[in-house]
Amino acid sequence: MFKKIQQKILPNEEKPEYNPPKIPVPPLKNDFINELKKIIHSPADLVIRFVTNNITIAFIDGLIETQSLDDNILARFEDTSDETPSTLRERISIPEVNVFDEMIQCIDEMLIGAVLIHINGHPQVVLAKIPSYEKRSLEAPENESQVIGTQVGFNESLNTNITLIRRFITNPNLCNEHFTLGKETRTSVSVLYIHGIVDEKHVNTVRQRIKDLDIVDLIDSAILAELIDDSSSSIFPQTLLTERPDRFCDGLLTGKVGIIVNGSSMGIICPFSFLEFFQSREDQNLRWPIASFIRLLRFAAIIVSIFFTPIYVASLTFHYEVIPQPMLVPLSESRAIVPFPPIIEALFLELVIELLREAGARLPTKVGQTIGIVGGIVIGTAAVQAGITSNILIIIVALGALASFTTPNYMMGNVIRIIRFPIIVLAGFWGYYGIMLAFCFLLIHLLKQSSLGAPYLAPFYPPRLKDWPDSIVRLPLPFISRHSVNSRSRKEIEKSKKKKNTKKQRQNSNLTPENKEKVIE
Amino acid sequence: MKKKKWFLLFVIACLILTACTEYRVLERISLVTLIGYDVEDGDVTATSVVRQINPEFESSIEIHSETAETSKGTRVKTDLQSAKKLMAGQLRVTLFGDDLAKEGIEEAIHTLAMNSEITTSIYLAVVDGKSKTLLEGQYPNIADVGQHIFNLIDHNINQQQMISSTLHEVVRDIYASFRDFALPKVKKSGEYIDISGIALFKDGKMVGSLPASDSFYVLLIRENINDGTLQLVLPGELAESSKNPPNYQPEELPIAIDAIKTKRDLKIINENEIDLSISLDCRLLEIHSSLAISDKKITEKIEKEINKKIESEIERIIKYSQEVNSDIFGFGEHFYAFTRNSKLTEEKWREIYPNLKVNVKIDTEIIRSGVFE
Repeated sequence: MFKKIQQKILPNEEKPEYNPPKIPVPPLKNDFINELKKIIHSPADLVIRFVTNNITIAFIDGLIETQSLDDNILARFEDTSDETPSTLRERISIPEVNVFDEMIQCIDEMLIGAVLIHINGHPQVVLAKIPSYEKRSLEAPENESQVIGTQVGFNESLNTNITLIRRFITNPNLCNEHFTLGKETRTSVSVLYIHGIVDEKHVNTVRQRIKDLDIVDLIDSAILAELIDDSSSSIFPQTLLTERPDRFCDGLLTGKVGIIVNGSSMGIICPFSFLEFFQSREDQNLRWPIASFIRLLRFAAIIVSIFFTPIYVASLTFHYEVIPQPMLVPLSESRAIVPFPPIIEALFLELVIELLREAGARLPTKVGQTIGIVGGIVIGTAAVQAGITSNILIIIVALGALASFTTPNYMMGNVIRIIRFPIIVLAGFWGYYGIMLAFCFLLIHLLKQSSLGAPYLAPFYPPRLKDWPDSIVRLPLPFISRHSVNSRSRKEIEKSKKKKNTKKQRQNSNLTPENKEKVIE
Repeated sequence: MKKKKWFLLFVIACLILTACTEYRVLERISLVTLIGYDVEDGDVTATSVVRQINPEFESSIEIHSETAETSKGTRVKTDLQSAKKLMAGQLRVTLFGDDLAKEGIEEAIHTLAMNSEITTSIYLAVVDGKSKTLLEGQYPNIADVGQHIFNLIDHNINQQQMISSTLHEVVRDIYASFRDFALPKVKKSGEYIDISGIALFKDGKMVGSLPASDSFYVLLIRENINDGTLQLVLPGELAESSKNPPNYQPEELPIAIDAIKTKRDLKIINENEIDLSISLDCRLLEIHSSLAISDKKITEKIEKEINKKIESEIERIIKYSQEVNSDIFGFGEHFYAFTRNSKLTEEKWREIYPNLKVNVKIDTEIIRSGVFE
């Protein structure tokens, strides 16, 4: 069923290229203006000016830099009748000046910040690109905050974002491939990778998937991420969406492919494994024992978050035998006046927590915090006093919610929170057996997932010992191989093969120390 | 696609067609924490300590006592008295009255082991007297008699002052052909409950008992231990080697030691003789201050005296167990395990055991003589 939907979005057969009808540029001044107005439906922000008798310029207000227009274009015009597009092109002193003879192409360029210069009697248009990017200034990333590390986030401009990346990686091998996506929006998309580090296979996959996309619009990178996922029906994200340029560059440097969409403040990094979602860039910046502790804490938090409430429900509904004796009295006393079975009680409280979270996220910032805190306290205390829930469950549910927020990635944090509900239901129906069933399903699902064809549960399944030092712990940097096995280039694979072979040779033949050195060399 | 439909059908069938598990919501059941069995004119009397959870945010303890032909029958009868369903999953201790123990408790233990609800880590114990009188007695200082008896047995076993008697171990001893089991004995003494000794069983019937003070020796013979305190009275001559003999000339010299590490070793000599050697690394806890324990010679002397004393005690205990013919130490098992093509049978071992010659040898070493802060 899901595959069918996917096929609708991603047709396998060759799709027709975007081929608009070609309209030649009319040589006469008035014809040109009429044609132009007809094609773009004479919008209010279209500016048409007659500079001299011969020359007409047209641009969209706000998309170009007026300073540059004055200094570099208008000042260069001479009132001569023998002006031609080629002479004009030479005189204008801005980097990108082109001559086109086709209307649609010209208008496309005009819409991203070019000035059209038409000379009466010539069937060509000179295009001077002086785009102005209205953009947000660079700010600290709000959703992925870090204590230690760079405090700069991506903004909505593609160019600024690529500039940021180039500041981090000054390397001629940093490749940037440009795509235009969306029939209506024609959004610019850049695919970035470092040649020589990246696995070419992944670049080809990304390229292929983006080319195969047949979409109408593209507003945010999150949509693109979902479209190029291996399995869009899975609850787990398979590509990382990050607003941190340092995390993005970290991905590129470990051999991953990055995608940036114009107008979106989040970059996509793929392939990404399950474990990496629980790692933060900050782990690299902290001392390794501390980073390891924090990582272990995060993984403990996932387990607490997913299984704590279900275990409570199952124990109280079916398995009263396993409750330790000292816990027995407090547990049963707090449950004594609750009229519902534990599963209803737990689902109710979990829903309240989710409501509070969602309300906190949607409300205006100024109201949001108050509602969150007051709502939590009022609902929590009042529910216990009214005898709807037991206070021990409130602690457990709050702990689970708190634990889920330790996940550094918002997308993954959501998954961890939502995945609890089916497990609670199963625990309420079948007890520990239900929890085990849910766990098995979860594991099977995770094992089945892949990200750009790379295994999702790496480095644990398939076991890649080389990546273990940087998995649930972070060992000192010398132990960590910079390029994870999942995403390493051909060159490196061959290198490691060679190493293996030389090792074998050394073992096979009894070499003298002198010869040994030669082999190593 | 067809495959998927079948899979979906399978999942839905799994969800819909499975029967419901029995709901056992914690606050809607009564938890039996302790059961005591007695025998009365051939019928079983079960006295159960039940923890009731009340909506008034308090839990109370109820004691029910019913008589029926089977233990299940007593449970049905007790259920008739109780507002909530009785569940035995939180059972911690099972007690057996004196009379029942003498008649045989193997059947009762079998019933306990058969019940999957009951954990095999519950403790079994024998009551000196009737368990009903023990449980129904008034104890002003004890809030929950079930919990109290559990804690009493549990901490003594953990500190290796008493032999361990979990259901698991007892069942193991029953199934082992050449081994008898022993249970701790509890006793009501006024307003308190004591552990009074060890009950020795033969073929599931209680045949004798040892005082609680002997439990350290029994443990020493049965297994390797690493805890447990022992008080010994050594002859007074030791004091002669003290710093100022004229002032201090007692007849007896009491000392206390605790075991740090013991190792028991059995060695078969022939089919009627066995060597039991125990090495005991211990710590000297109490001794008269005038004795120069820093002197190695004196320490060696003390060690020797301790050896002698423990040897005699152990010989006495083994002799007693031979008299009642209850092999609680598992010598028979050792014989069977360490003899090639052993043709030992249970009946044969019963004949051999009373006349078995056990050569006891203790090797004490005082590792530390007091730690000062």
